[in-house]
Amino acid sequence: MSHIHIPDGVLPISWWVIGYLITAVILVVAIRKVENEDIRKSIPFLGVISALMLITMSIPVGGLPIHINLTILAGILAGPWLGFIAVFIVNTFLSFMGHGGITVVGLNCLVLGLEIFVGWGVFNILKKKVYLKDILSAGIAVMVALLISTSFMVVIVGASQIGWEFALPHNHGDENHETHDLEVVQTESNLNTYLEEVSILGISGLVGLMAIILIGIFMEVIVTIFIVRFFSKVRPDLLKR
Amino acid sequence: MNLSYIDLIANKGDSMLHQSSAASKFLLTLSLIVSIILADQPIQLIMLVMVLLIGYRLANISLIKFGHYAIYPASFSLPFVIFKLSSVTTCSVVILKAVTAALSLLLLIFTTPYPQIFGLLYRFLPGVLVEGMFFTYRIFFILISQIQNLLTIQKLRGGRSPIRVLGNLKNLAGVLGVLFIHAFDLSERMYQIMIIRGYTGHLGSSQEVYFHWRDLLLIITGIIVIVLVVIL
Repeated sequence: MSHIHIPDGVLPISWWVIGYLITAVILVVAIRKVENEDIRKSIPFLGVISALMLITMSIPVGGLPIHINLTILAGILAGPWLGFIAVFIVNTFLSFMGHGGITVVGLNCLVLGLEIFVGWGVFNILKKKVYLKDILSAGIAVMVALLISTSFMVVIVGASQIGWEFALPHNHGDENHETHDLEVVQTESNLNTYLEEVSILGISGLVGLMAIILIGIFMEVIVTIFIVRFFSKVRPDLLKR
Repeated sequence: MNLSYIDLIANKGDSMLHQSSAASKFLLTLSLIVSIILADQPIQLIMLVMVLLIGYRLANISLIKFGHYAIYPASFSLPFVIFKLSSVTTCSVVILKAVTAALSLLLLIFTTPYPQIFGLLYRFLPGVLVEGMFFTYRIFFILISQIQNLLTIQKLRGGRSPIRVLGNLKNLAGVLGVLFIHAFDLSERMYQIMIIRGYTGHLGSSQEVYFHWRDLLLIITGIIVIVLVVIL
């Protein structure tokens, strides 16, 4: 569900460069891990997982401004390393279609990668250490992972907006603090205007925004639980990979 | 996103841009992206849009066919415009940056068949990533037709109702569950087929890079664009 839709040239260069660098380091580790296994089997599976993520993102969910990713389910099924490579491929494809800029691919990989690692970790702890059923473990894993990744995404977007003027340089060098303060006031005013425009079931503002996020998380949790229940009936071996 | 349509245009086109090498088109796209990042005035971005429109004209791709792709990134930039910005100039810069970046990448994939793109990517990306992308691209088309059929069946059988939210999610999960299982079976079949064909974990060699006068023209255009953005 968490995905930054920021176009190219909006985020400060340092942000997306750091995003790319961290992603590159994780990718190197992930590729080494995958290459140690049977790569002939891993690569078609990688293609399948990435294609499934791309497809589930394009399925509309009840007219809400959100989409499900099933990234965590993909991570549970494929493992975190293969899952992270799949996330990179998915974000690259999406950026080519204008769904988030190409410069934001690194940061998006970190957001979705966090979802995968947390989801996979929580699922395995609950299943193997706490001995919970697959359905319950998957549901809790999705909820925890989405809450963490959404918070991480909010932190990235929120923190980078402090440096918005550096992303769109327009002779700020000569400006004094009073002008900057004025921009901050305008920013807060615009934020309130934007939040007032967010509306769901008559609830608007920050509460409406939070409601949409929570409904999104709830939907992904429910869909994942139903899919895992389906797997445990039809192909229980998939969850034992 | 209509990947099959883009695939068709990239493979069937015979324009100057289609005939140019993937490397030169890639360098042009890279120049355009760098220019977009450097640009901070609407005039610079309008110039980039003009360059792209000439590119689409040269590639014989009509505005009607690709125009809607520009709306997509523009719609994503709108919340940021409302959220943060105050002046008309800055708003137009954000929207134009989103549109030009998407159009630059689309021009590349509209005019370059995917084996050429993947062949080029082999030169500077690890094989696992490129082959992963290749398999994703092919499997996407197989699975997208399956999900379309499954969703149609679900709709025809009354599996979607505007008031039964939980029921809709349950049915959607059933459809996705079937799709996942088909996809995993497909992955197993592909693995077995590739083994029979002697697949060792590396599909092919990287593309030969060649340069024609058309390619030099594209590279020079890219350099001129960056210089113009810096000067303006």
